[in-house]
This record gives sequence, C-alpha cells and structure tokens, in this order.
Amino acid sequence: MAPYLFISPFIFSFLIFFAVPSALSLALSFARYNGYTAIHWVGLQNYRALISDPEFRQALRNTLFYWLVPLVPLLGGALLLAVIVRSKLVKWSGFYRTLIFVPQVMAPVAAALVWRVMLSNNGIVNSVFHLHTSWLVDPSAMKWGVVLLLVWRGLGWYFVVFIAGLSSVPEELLEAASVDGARAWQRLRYVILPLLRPTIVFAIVIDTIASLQLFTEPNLLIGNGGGNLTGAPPSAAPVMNQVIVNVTSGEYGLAAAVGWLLFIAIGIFSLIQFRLFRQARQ
Amino acid sequence: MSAVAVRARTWNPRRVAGVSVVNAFLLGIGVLAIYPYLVMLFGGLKSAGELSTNPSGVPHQPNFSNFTTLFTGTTGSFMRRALLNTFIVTIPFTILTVVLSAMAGYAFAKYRFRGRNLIFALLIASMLVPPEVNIPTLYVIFAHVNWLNTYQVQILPGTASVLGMFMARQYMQSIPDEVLEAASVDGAGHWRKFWRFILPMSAPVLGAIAVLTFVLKFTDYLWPLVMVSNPKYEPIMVALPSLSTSQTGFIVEYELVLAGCVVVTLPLLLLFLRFQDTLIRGVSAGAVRG
Repeated sequence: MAPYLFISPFIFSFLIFFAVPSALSLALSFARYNGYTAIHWVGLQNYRALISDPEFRQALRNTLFYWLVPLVPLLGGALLLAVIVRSKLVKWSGFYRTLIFVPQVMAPVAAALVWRVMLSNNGIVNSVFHLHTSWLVDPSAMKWGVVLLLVWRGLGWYFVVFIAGLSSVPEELLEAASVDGARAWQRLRYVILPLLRPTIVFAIVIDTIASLQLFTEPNLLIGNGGGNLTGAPPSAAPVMNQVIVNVTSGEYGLAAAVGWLLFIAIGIFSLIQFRLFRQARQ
Repeated sequence: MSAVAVRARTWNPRRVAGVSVVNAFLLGIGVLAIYPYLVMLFGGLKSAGELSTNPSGVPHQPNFSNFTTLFTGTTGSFMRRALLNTFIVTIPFTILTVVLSAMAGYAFAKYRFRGRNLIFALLIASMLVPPEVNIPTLYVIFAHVNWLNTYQVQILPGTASVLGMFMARQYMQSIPDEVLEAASVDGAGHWRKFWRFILPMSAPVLGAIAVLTFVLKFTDYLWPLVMVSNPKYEPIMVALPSLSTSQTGFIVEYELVLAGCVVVTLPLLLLFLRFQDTLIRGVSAGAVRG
C-alpha cells in the first residue's frame, strides 16, 4: 500500500490540474461553448474555421518565423562558443560560462521591457548601426526585433547544454585524433559533432517546443505597450495569442482547438527530428 | 589551434595570437551579454527626460528618485502588493512541487508495485502535451468554482511536475538499497525511511528542483496574466509592464519600469550567483542522456 500513498498526492494534482483538463479540452475542441449556455457539438468545425482564418494562418507563419530564424544563430552560435570555451586556448572557462549564461537569468518580462528601450528609435541598436528603423512598430522590422531578443536571452541556455554535451566527449579521443594529424575543424567535424548528436537533437526538440509556446517576448517587446493582454499586432503575433484571444472573448472551443493544433505540431516536429537524426546515425 | 600547439603547450607566437583572439572574442560576447543589464540599471537611475534623449549611455545626473517613487505613495502600495503576491504564490508552489516530486520519485525509485511502469510511462508521455492546451478548460472550470483572481489558482495547478519527479527518481535510484534495508531492520517504517534517510540523502537533487521551480514560477507571466485580473492578487511580473504613477495603464513610464526591472532582477541574480552550478546542472540535465 505504501507506494500508492507516496505517489497519491502527485497523481491527485496531476489528474485534477492536467490529465482531466486535457481530456476535457480535447472534447471542448469539438464543441462550441461560451461558458454558461449549453454545449453544442460541432465536430471538426473549430479546426476548419481556424485553418481557413487568415489571422490564425498569419499567427502560424509568425510562430514558424520565431522558431526557424533564431534556430541557426542560437544553436550554431552556442555550439561554436561551447567548443571555443572548452578548447585549450581558454583558461577561465568558468568565468566565461557565467558571463555567457547571464542573459538567461533576466526574467523574460524584464528582458522584453529592457529591449524595448534598446530598440526604440534613438536606442542603442539604431545608433550603433546608424539605422532609422522603428523596430517596435514597423511591421517589416518588428519580428526581427523579437529575434534579436530571443537570441540574446536564449544563447546562454544552449551554450550550457552544449558544454554539458562536450564534457561527455572523451579527451583521449581528441588527443588520438590530434596525434593522427587531424586539424581543429577535422576534429570538430569527425569526432565532436558525431558524438554530440544526442545533445543536438535534445537542443532542437527543446527549442521547437519552446518556440511553439512562445508568448511573453513578442507581446511585451513590440506593439504599443501599456500592459495589454496581447500586445503584438496580428502581423507579428504568435499562435499562443490565438489561445488567449479566444479565451478572453469566450470562444472556449476555438481556444481549445488552437491548443490541440499546437500539440499536433509539436508531436510531428519532434517525431521528424528524431527520425532524421536516427537515419543520419545509421 | 593546430595539432602541434595543442600538444606542446609552449609560448610560441601562434599560440599567443590564438589565445588573444579567442579571449578578445569571448570578452566581446560577454559585453553583449552584460550590456542590457547596464541599460536597465542606468535607465532606472535616469529621469524621464534623460531616458528619452539618452536611452543607451551612462546617466549624466544619476538619482534614485525612481526607486523612491516605486516604494512610496499609491505606486508604492501597488508595487509592494505585487511583490508580496509573488512571494505568497512562489514559495508554497515551490515547496509543494518539491514535496510531491520527492514522494512520487521515491515510490518510483524504491518500490515495486502494480502499474508502476505503466503509470510512469504515461507521466513521461504527458510531457509532450503543452500545458497551454489546458488553459481554456481550466479557465472555464476555475470561473465556475470562483478560483479566478485568487492565490490558490496560482499555487496549486502545475505542482505535479513530471520533470521534477523524474529528476528525484533518477537520483534516488542511485541511493543503495542496503541503506533502506538497514533502516528496516532497525524498525523504521515507510514514512520514517523516507523522512530520515531518503530526504536528507537526496538534498542535492531536491535543492536543484527547488531552485529551478522557484525561478520558473517567479518569472511566470502567461498563467497569472490569464487567471488573475484583480491587482490585489497580481504578481510582480504582470504588474511590471504597466507600471506608472497614474495607475491607468495608458501611459507607461519606462524609467519606473526599468527601476522595477532592477528590483525583480536583483533576487534572481543573487540566486543565480549563489546556486549557479545547481541551476546550470539542472538546465543541462537532459542534455547528456539525450
């Protein structure tokens, strides 16, 4: 009996606040429900409505943008920095680890608000590069501002992940490669990268999941500010805004359907990535 | 970075050049990492007028008036309320998460029972479902039971952390069974074994879960934004973006907002510097195992 007693508080909280609501939310996604009148079962209508809704499609494109554009600078930059910091040319690797991780310590809310100042018309980004870009309101520039913020804050996270992955690469292997005359980039390409594959898959999957759930950064960074629930204008709003907008307007069925489309997307992307990397390994 | 340089660690000119280039590059990255912290701190020390003309540089006339404004008058009571709310919510949430993770992790690590593997597999699989999927349903449910605009809506949901439970289980599996057998021989019951032996021996992993949970809850924005609209229960992260002396939310005073950012960043920075290794190990926990 004892083990059941030990897991029961966890299971209780899990069922009440996660499992049961998930099941109900799946049901709700096939219904029209405003919270007080009777539930109408509508089949796939919510999903159809979303897929043909231009605003939802735009949100989907925006989320894809926020996922794919920072992906290469984030993962590539973090990997490069990790290899450099772990190399024998660097003495104070602990100091650099702290320094590179430190943006991650700033809360997303605070980071977005600080970058609002940095991306303002006379902010640092414009003055350093002699630009006159209205990062916070110009529809063609807004999304790039979000990318800058995401890369600044996220780089340290992936850097630390790669540092941990690199510590699992045996030192002797690298030395053996050096003895055999492998140059730095050859050691990277033929020794480090293949051994790092599980870490890279992990990083990409985590990045995918986090990007699809993105909400705080675009909504606080761009638009007119002032603490709106969803500050980003439709042209730059992520998919999560569709959940929130539909909840606040009482369209609970639609909101639930957005959530499940998000789940399907996460499932498909994770599966593809695992497959791709498994094939690459064979 | 040639093979020769790696083997023979002598001070040849190529190595010196390599070391300087690499360190200069890393220091440059470090400046980029730190600079927004300076914008925040400097901005908090500027007047509204100076912030709009000199948003990026050192303040010409640094003063603490934003910080005094932040903690006096109506803004002060609003700010103190929001900070207090954050702690009222974050501390019990963290304790609950750690306790539930430890208890469940212990059962999964040290007991064989019917359904163990199935339940465990289902919990792990559930990590694929984004928590946001539940926002619409939970909003409807909480509206019906009058839980919107309360503390409990911010404290109870999310305490069943599958990741926390998993971390606790992995760690407890490495505690030798002999320890528990010896305790049983001495007449210790299930609860006593957990309380007197497992908990103290798992302190490192429970500390890691606690720090990670605290930081995530402290900085959470979306959940309280949806579930709480009454300032009486609003945490600081929701209050921060609309800080202003007028309280209307139409005019945001960025010098105040930046001072507020300094106030919320200080505890996080202290926590990070104190528990750096714990936090970083927590972040990279899944990386090596993949």
